[in-house]
Amino acid sequence: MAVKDIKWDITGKCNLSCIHCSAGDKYTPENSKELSLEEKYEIIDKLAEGRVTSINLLGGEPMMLGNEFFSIIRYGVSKGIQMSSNTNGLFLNNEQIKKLADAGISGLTIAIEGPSSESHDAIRGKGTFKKVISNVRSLTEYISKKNVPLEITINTVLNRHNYQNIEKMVDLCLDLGVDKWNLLQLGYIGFAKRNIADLWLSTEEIIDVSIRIAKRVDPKINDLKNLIFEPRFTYPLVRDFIIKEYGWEMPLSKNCCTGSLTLGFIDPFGNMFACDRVANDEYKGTKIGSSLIKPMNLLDHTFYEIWNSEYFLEIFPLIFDDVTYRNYEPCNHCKYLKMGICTPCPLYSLDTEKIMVEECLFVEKKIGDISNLEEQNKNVSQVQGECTGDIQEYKAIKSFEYKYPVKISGIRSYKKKEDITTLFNPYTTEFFNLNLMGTKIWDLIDGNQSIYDIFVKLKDKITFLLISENQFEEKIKYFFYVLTKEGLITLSNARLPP
Amino acid sequence: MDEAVKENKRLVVDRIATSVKLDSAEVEKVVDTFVLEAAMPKIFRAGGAVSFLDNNCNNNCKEELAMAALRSMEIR
Repeated sequence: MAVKDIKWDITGKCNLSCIHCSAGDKYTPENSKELSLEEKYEIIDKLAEGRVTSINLLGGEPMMLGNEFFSIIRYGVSKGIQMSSNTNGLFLNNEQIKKLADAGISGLTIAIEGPSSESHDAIRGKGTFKKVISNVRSLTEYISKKNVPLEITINTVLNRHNYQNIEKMVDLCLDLGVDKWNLLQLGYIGFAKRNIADLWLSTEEIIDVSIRIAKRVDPKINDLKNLIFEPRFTYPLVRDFIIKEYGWEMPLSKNCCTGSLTLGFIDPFGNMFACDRVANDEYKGTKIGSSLIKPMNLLDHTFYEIWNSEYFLEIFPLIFDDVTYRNYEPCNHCKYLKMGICTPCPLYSLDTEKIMVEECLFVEKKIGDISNLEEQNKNVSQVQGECTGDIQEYKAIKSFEYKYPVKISGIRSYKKKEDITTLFNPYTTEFFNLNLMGTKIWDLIDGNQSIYDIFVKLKDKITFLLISENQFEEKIKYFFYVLTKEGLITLSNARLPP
Repeated sequence: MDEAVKENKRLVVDRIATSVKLDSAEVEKVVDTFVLEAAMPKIFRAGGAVSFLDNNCNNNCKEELAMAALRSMEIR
């Protein structure tokens, strides 16, 4: 997981009109003017200032930008950002492949909708399968010959046109020599919403696909060589069911919302959102917690003004609060939700209707209890333990620094229980828990009070301790030292100590 | 432990024991755990179990005790 992973619809223009396109017609030419190349550079500068580590260019079709596309990649790479892109692959002739490699792109994801022209062309248009296969073959041959460090991924969206022989995609990917295959879930969004009757699969059909895929990718049965497979079309619970019933195992795919934690989304006009879904018109003006979802443009704001804006911060509790999922069945009692392995899009909870994850309900009927954490916890490594620091380093802190105001910047926090606060540091992608007193102290950090001010407030309230006041003060100072060390707070000397 | 701290602790234990109608020895055990686990600020890496309430609320009586300990600190 990158520290900050930005998805950027760099253009709304596209040479195709795929029937499942998630962008649909939201980027019509008349709805706004797209950014100039200089403006795109300005945005990359701001992302670099914001310590963004990777940018994934999407669209539309990014390669519609012609030479500008390569300039953007080169510019991002020159700023130390890992650049990748998604494409329909139709522009990947030999000249473009060379330009891509020379620009320093590190990942390219190409859409192939099925193992045959029948399934692919039904989604993307006549003749597109033949062309894209030929282009991908040229690409993999080029990067192999020239030893280019470029990861090639194939994305496939599971739908009615490809489900019958979808497992043959594994053979196609192996034949093409790509690095990775993602099988994705169809989103009820964009053109897919309009064409849903032509695309949607029943629960039984998806379960059937899952079984066939598990059999095909199980390393006990087949050698996938170095091909990485991500089953992002299904849920961990379905994987459990197949292992139990058939013994076939596909990789465990995390299905987690990362919006505003490590993920940000930029539209072709420079507006930045917590994710691509929240950017849809239906959520504009909606409240998350007490904050309004609103577009903020990177040409008008710094990256941090947006990244640390109110609604970005409010998404963290939305993702981790049990209340969010109370109407999600069976997520509201599923172990994978509790374990943080599967957190379906929390935005659905903003509507009051019940959300039914049909495949998981189907599985629950078959396997019974889905809430038992004990068995799973054996297999999930959890990094835990109290955070500590270096005692010499701690002792070296000058006493006046304890009178600097304590500030929190961009750290996501959520009071999980009455006596636990969960923190997420988006700069390091690490999660932390604070205990009861830690929670109390965290609540007192307001950007104005110093460590000393906070200690004074607490010492007067505490009616008993098994240690002296001085020892308690030391404990608090040490706690703040560890918070600083983990990058969760800063001590600002903007206000000089008296 | 200095005398003032000991005295403070005794007062708190007595107060809680009276309010929850339990033996002082049992209350003292919970208070000791509380001070050890929850009254000192701590930060854990993800997965670290830190809920004092969860750990001490196995039955109604313990829950009452745990809550009384929290109340005694006036930070609920």
